[in-house]
Amino acid sequence: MTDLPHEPLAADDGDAWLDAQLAALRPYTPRPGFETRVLMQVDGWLDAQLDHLPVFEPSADLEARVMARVRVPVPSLAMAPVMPAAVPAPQRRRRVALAAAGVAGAMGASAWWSVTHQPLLQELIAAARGEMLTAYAGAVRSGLEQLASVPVIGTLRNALLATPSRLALFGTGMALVYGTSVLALRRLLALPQTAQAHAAR
Amino acid sequence: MTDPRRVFASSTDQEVVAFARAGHEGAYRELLKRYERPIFSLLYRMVRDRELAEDLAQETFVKALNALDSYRPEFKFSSWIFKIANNAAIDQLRRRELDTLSLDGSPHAQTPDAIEATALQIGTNEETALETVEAKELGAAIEAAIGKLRPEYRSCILLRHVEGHAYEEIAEILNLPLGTVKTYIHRARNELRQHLAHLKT
Repeated sequence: MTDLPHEPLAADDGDAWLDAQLAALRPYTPRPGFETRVLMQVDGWLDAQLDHLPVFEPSADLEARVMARVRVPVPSLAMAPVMPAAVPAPQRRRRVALAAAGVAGAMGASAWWSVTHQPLLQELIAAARGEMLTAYAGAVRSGLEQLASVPVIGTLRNALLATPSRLALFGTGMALVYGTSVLALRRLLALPQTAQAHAAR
Repeated sequence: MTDPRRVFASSTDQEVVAFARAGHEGAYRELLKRYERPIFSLLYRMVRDRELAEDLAQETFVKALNALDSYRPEFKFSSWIFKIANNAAIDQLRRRELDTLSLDGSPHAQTPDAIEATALQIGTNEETALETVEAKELGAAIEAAIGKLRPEYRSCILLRHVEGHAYEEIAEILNLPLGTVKTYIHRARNELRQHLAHLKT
């Protein structure tokens, strides 16, 4: 059995009780007496009556009378809030569905053609590969011939090929330059690993 | 094309006000549509004269809609427009001393003479449209009881129980301290209980 005192609702507690806020304001135990019950019943009944009061309708021309006296500013593009997208949602959904169906149809048609024309497809791929290799080889050969025709390149080539040690020295030097360049580029292009504070920037 | 009316209807009060400030006439109409019934209901219950309530509603909307530039969006638009409406009603009641049966006088009165001098008197005996409704409808007694409250109590009880505003909003609308609002509502409820006691026996 608790020994909490039976404290009746004071008159000032009425609003807090009705707002269900009384428990947050103070501990209470409503006295199970006639007075408390009557107070709660009357308050509940009064609230129900007030909550169901009707809303009155003004005369139909109120809007027209008000609008006749309201000064609507001239529309300003600078102040205009952005209207939502011009296309209504159902129409947007229909367009997206049509676009998705078009893409899926094209992909399906491509797959069907590939399956049903395997020999022709293989032929086309082989021919394309051959053409590409021929073009690449021709380009390399032509480039090398152009390079060899430059007098300085010819002199340098002869000098390097005269002794193997020169060629080795040249190769090592080039490798070092290439490696150093790669390392420098990696350092330059690397992103910071940790976030910098705004103040440290 | 997007129907602006649908855009306004799905926007918050602040957004509709922004559209109105940018020169969209439809936004003004949307604000009117949202608030014409609650504002008119409050005014009708305050002044208890349909024609006068219509005029005050018109003045309220014209004043509010022509002063949208002075509205600060960090506050609720409903609080702002109810404040304008309530001020209009209170000014009207003070000027004309319309029907109220409260004999308490001003809550700010300090002396018995001042209480007597500021007590509002019973006005016209003519049957108003609201009284005709009262005689016929089930909520007649509660409407009559609200009509007997002094204007300050009436504002508080209507804003709290009919319009559903929080105590803090009512304090903002009526420009009163929070404690005063709570006291007014408590006293108004007590008066309503007394006026309606015969219905609960």
